[in-house]
Amino acid sequence: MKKRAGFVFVVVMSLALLALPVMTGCAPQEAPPPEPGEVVKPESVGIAAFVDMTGPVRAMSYPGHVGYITYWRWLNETEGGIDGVPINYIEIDTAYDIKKMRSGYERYKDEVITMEAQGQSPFYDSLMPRLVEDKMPAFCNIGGSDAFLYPSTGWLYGAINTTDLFGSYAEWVLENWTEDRKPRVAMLLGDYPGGRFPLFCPPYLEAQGIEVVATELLPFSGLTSAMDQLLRILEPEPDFIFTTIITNQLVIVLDELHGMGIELGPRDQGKDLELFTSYGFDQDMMAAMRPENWDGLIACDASWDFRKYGDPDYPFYTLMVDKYMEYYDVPQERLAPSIAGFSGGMLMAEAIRLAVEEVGWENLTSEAVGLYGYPNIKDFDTGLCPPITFSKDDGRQQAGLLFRTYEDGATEELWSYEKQPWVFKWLDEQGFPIAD
Amino acid sequence: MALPCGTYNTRYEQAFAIFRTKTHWAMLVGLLVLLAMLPFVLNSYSLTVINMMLIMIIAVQGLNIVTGYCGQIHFGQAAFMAVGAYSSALLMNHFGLSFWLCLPLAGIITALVGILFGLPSVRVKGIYLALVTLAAQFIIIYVIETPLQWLTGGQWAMDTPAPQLWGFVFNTQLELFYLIAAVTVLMTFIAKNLARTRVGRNFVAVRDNDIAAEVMGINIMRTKVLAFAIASFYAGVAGSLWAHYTQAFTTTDFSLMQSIWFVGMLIVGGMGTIVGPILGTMFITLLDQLVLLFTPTMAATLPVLTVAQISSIAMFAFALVIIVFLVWEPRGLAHRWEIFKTSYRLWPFAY
Repeated sequence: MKKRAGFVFVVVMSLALLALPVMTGCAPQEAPPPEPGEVVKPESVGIAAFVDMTGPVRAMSYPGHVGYITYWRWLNETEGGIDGVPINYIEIDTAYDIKKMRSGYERYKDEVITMEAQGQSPFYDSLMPRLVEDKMPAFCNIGGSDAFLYPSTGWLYGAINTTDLFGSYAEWVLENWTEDRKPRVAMLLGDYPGGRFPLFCPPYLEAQGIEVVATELLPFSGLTSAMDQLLRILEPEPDFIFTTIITNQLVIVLDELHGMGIELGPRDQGKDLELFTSYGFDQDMMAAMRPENWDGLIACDASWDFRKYGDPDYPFYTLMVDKYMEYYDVPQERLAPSIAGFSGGMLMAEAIRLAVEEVGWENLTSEAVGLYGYPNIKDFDTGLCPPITFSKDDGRQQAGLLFRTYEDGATEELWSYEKQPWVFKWLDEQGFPIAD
Repeated sequence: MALPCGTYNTRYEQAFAIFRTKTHWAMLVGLLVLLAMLPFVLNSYSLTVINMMLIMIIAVQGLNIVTGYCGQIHFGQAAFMAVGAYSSALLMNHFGLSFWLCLPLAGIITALVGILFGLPSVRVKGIYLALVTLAAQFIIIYVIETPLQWLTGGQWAMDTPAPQLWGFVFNTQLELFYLIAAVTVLMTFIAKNLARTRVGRNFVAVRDNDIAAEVMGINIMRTKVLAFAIASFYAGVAGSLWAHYTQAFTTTDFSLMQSIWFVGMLIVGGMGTIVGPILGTMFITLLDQLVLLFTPTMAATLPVLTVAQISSIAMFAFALVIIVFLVWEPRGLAHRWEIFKTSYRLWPFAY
């Protein structure tokens, strides 16, 4: 008996000792220090992409990400990366799973100097303390970024922001409103964090002179019908509906509105109501339904880089589209949202260049990119939109909010917006409760 | 439990002991030593995965009590974790309570909520009970996000301080590992003992045939509701640990998918055993991480495929592994472990 116990103990301990070098090998290896006075460029510069490539928000996050990878690959091939240092682009599928986000971040944070984070607010919410603690700047131009934009931490930079987008839409509504009464708005929101943030908006909208008559949430899951929610929000006869539902749900909602005989468009043109969607047009989505269902829909291309959408002669757009088709062999009509990623990549590269100018390649860290990169981007012209400026106190991309409508198979530009209102800041200053 | 060849119980204490032989004790000591040594050889990423896995083990142990032992199907364990997480965070943030008080209180509060949702189990069972627990998943998350938004912050992240003990702050992955591992070991030990008590035997009786159990004098209502309460207590403790471990969480941390994965972990590990939740959680978590690590490497090796394509294939492979495994061993990893142990004990004899 004693012999058996001793044997087991020895086996367990031996296994533990054997496992030691294996597990130690998991730890990152440190590079040898450079010679004194020598300026050594790194072999590559690491950038991680945390993207929901599978899962419920793939339709929104992945197309933009494709633009990034096309841009990085093109940059590596044509210019050898940034200042001759190739980009080592690490892509992680987070699949809308917080655990994957957390573990993926821990796995790769030491290998990268900035991150592309295409996803939804839980990502930022969950990792915000870590990003601030690790001094890791993250950049996103597709996905809900409302939570981190106010108050700014200086480590997170983003674009689409559903509350500010709603604020912009409200201004547009008021500018075009001609009747004596207040305009009535109903909210049909996606039941996910980025979709729900406009729930904070009513005090702001009321202050602007807009009446919020109904609010409904659509489950963030496979949807076969939204009729219940539609009937409830249509009952108080809204003039406008603002929606943050995801694109594949919008297909169903538009189909049902069409089936109910509701015509989208301005009332003064004899239409029933205007439907404003926060996530722009998606060619895949449009191809999936009857063209007439789209008539009168207003979409916001909040990623400033959509400005030249539909202009195939625009050189950079054309170049990137060609490259994407070359790299990934996909038809051209499915590329629209990727444009956002092209210039997102340009912006990240600019942040790295600025940081290198300040501290040099030998001292380039994520902290340097956060301190001297993104906040110092001033009037940066990607060629796709008006110049972009960031600051440590405002990480929102301001330029190029574009409202477009769809009619008879073509899109028409309605309104171009340069500066979004900052709804959360307004709410905070007015004493309305917002969680921090 | 079978004993090694030539080993016999001579006293009742020996028959009731969890660790009966010196071999058991040696293995326990070896395991604890290994566990204690782990943080010193692992990097931050590995510790992150292990810490999350240990917390999941507690939640799945709870699920095992209500589903594995008592036979009540439960698809809302993640929502109960959310109750524990928010309770603990609010108790600490609003009342300044210590983590060491928040942890059991979160469990108790969640147990009370568990009793509420466990009551329907008296009248419904099977697929109908599954729907009730699914409803619990949605109702609890809705209540946290909407009616209680003034208290919980709704969809905003809830910030939670790190646990402290006499001024020592458990802040790093390494420090948190020891805390989480200790609680996991304790909760597993409690679960093991619970299964051997009268209450545990009542659970099994109700699971196997509730009418027969009632004829034998077991109070069905009390037993089922108690199972829900204990399972929820476990979820509450796991939620509290999650809150203080992450230090910032949202309701998305406790999604329906997470609840379904808890059930998956239990099935893969083996229901109605203590080792099942541990093995199942390890298996699913490590497979999940393998997919995460596998995709960038494969993308570098196969540039013709995008990471998204590789990720989709990997997810498919992930599902396939689980299906094949369940076809091969429907009783879960725990059963394989039992076969291995029995063979070892009888070695070198065949029977």
